[in-house]
Amino acid sequence: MSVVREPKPGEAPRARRWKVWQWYLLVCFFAGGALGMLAELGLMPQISRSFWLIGSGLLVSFAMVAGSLWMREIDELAQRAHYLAWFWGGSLGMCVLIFLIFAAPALHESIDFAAIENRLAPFGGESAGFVAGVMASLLVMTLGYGAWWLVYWLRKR
Amino acid sequence: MKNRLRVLRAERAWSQADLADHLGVSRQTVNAIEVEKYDPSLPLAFKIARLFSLPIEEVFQDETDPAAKAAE
Repeated sequence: MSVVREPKPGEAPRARRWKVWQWYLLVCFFAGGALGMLAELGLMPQISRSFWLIGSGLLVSFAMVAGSLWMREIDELAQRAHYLAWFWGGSLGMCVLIFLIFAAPALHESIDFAAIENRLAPFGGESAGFVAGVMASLLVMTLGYGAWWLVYWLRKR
Repeated sequence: MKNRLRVLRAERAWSQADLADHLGVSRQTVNAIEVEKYDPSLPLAFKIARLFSLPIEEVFQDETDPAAKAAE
């Protein structure tokens, strides 16, 4: 006996219905790809300061709304995986970052920090050092988050 | 936390996906509860008990409870 709920008339099956956060991811994915391609080809348009500020603010605001909608939609095990990954994986990443802050002077001869800065903040201009630092923080903490989430999810599923 | 979810589900010939749909969770969550890798939240535990029309302690057993051990 199957007890799976049939969609109501006119209602698309759950898997086929696109949610706000899915659209957001798709649009960001292609917009990011397009921007990267324009930059690589040297065709990046001159963008005004206010456009950068408003655009960045809108991007992050939509990300918060999309993330919140998505978090409400997933079930409690999936939520728990993300809570734990955020705390443990993110904290682990933060520990690595703190180590790097203190160890950087000693690592200066063996690591090409300028190359990392160029890679992480190619459009940073005068603020490249700051942007590279923020990007590195995001990258390391996201790596910790992702690794923790993956291990938790594979063990629990 | 031990539970009888797999037995109760089998008695009704439900798949994990069927049960997940009833509870509004993913099939992975049902599986994780069944294999005792995940203890559900209180609201979900009560929902499961209500679904099977059983008191919650007949679905979930606390292994550290001396009374439950004595009853075994």
